[in-house]
Amino acid sequence: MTWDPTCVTEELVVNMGPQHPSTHGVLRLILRLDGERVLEVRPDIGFLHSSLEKIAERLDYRQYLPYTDRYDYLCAMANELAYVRAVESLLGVEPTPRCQWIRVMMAEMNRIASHLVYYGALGMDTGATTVFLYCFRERERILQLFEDASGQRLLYHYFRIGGLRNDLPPGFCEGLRSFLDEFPRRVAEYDALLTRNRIFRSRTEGVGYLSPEAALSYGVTGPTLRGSGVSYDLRRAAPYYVYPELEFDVPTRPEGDVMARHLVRQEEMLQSVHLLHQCLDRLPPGEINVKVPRKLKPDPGEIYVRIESPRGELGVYLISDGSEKPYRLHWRAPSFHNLQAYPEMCQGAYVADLVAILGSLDIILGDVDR
Amino acid sequence: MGLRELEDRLRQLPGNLPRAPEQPLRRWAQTHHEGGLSVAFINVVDKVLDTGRACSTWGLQFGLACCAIEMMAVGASRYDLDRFGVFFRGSPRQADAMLVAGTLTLKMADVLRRLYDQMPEPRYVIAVGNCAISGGRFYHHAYSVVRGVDRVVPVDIYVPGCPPRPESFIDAIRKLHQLMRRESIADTIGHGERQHEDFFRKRELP
Amino acid sequence: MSEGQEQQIASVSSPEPLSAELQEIAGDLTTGGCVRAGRPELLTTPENLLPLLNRLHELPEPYSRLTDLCGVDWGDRVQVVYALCRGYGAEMVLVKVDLPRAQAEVPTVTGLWQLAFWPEREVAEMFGVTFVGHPNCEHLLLPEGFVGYPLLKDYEYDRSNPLLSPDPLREDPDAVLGGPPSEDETGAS
Repeated sequence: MTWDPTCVTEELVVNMGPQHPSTHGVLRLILRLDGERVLEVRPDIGFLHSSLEKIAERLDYRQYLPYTDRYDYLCAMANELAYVRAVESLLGVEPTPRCQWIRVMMAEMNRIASHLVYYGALGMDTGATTVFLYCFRERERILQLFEDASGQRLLYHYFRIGGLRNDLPPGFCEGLRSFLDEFPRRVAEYDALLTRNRIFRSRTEGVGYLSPEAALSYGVTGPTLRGSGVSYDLRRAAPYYVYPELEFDVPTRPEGDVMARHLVRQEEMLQSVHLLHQCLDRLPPGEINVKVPRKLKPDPGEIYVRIESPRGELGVYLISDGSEKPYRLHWRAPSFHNLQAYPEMCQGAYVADLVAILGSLDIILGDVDR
Repeated sequence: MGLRELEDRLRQLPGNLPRAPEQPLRRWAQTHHEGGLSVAFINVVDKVLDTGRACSTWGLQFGLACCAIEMMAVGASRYDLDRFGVFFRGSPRQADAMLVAGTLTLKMADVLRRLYDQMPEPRYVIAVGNCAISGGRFYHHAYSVVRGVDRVVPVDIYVPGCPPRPESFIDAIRKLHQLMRRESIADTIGHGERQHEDFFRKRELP
Repeated sequence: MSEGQEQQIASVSSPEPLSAELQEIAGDLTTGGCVRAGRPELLTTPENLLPLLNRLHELPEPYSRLTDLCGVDWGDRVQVVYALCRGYGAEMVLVKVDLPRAQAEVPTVTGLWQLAFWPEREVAEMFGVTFVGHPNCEHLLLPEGFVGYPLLKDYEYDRSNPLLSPDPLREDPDAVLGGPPSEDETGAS
């Protein structure tokens, strides 16, 4: 059959999701297509809306802590960190130095684990299945360390208000050190396997462009923003805990495409390794818990706490009315705002690019829908 | 009341009694063909089909929330669910079992039911995690979380945990295989829908 | 430890007066304001919201980035909170608008920031606030046809909904299993 230049294509509306292996959870996309070209993408969210903000108003400050894990389940430690920091600020409590170092350590380990899932999932989305298995092999080692420390593989409930559940178990630092020694070699392996693969490169370079101006207007943060050439990292811009004392780079790429975001995350994993080495070297001895009252009743007031989660700027807006329960808790969800810029990135893309672009956003639907 | 008594009482409820399937095919074989050979033939066919089913179970990947990440981990290198013949599919039309992993919300409920209806018989449902079993942590105060997947689709196997460990995941798969090996074509052919459908008429869902 | 951190821990619940700079910029458009934990807060009215945001946007060092938008229910009134950042920096200001619950209407800020599209829809469905001029204010997170505004303090979910109702076996096992347990059983448990 020969190609007929007078052939006319019709617009077609296609539904994608909410049950789809490449939407990273339960996201529904309504696509308007002209042949292979995407004319319009309309995300439909809310399929995992589990009323987390309402539940906070019904429980007391300690009871809500496990729910923060279930909010963005790939970086449970980061959510715990943000929430615990907000409540401690309301109470006027400052954690002990050792506790702060351990919290930062856990957050950085969680960043590596979260980026490894991203790495594997992007590989899957672009058709490279093997790298997924490689990434999960390394992720299991981190999960093993988390399990040793907290007793859980995924949702840790390790940070407590005023401290930690327990000190680091014996052998933790040695285990972490051996992992850190090996990990950069593994990243080089992924790099050779996925990033320098010609097919992967042609599917990601120049695809899904996001300009810095659009990123500003949409409130995009995290590695997605840094892939557009803006060097904004809350660990640097508004540092918390021991980050001012630590030395690290904020990787930035100017291209603004899928590959740029991918390289930023890959570099971030190595930066986390660098940070963890410093944490291990400088981890001070001492107490991990400070005394907090049995009944937590912060004075009326409010606090807005922001931290850098693996997905971007994670904010907690917490209002206290002097009772045992939070009056209002609001999550500033990084994925929620990053996903909003998705239709902008998909302009002029092909259908097959959609999943690659979505994968490069690294959204978690628990974070989007709350 | 102890747990054991509760279990016993539950077992005595009419809805939970194991129902003897009518098996019209087996009856027909027994009456029309002087028993013997045809019944043996059904047994052989059952054996072949059930072994096939149990050795290559294709699961519908229905990851909803946190448990889905554990489901990915079970499928990946360390736990390697492939060695039990389980392979995740994206389409309900190619799946034997639906693994519902995570929090089911109101908005998602009818999607779940529609996907279940699209799966070919015999179909199985595994509810993974506390949220899928009863709403779990969200049981008391959530306004948008369905209190258990079994309010929307019938569930064969429940896997407790928040999230369940990969080992309990694998245990659920083994139990599913046991369940599959009890399946007979005599139950399905001529019998129409399986007993699950009665369960629904009783619950009167919207 | 950094300086900002100590400041934050010092005074979360004791507000201080606004800085002279912000007082000068925004004084005539606000109905109140304070600095809490080193972060300024401006209270304004729906009519003055857009002029105030525009003015903050046009400063030499503008508060050019909206990072967050959410609602708070204070009983008789609903408050919409806008979190603005000074570029990609640490400085942040919260702009709050009080709306009477009976007539909660506020102009949309989608013309200024694309970010506001989804959060405004979310606040609309959760608190019943009308954003005047919003192009598409359908349900975002909740299913179509959902009744009520769940994040209002007096909202209770519909317990008669068969998908949300409490599990009868859990709430009252005796009623489900038939007959109350005998006395020695109660004693045993």
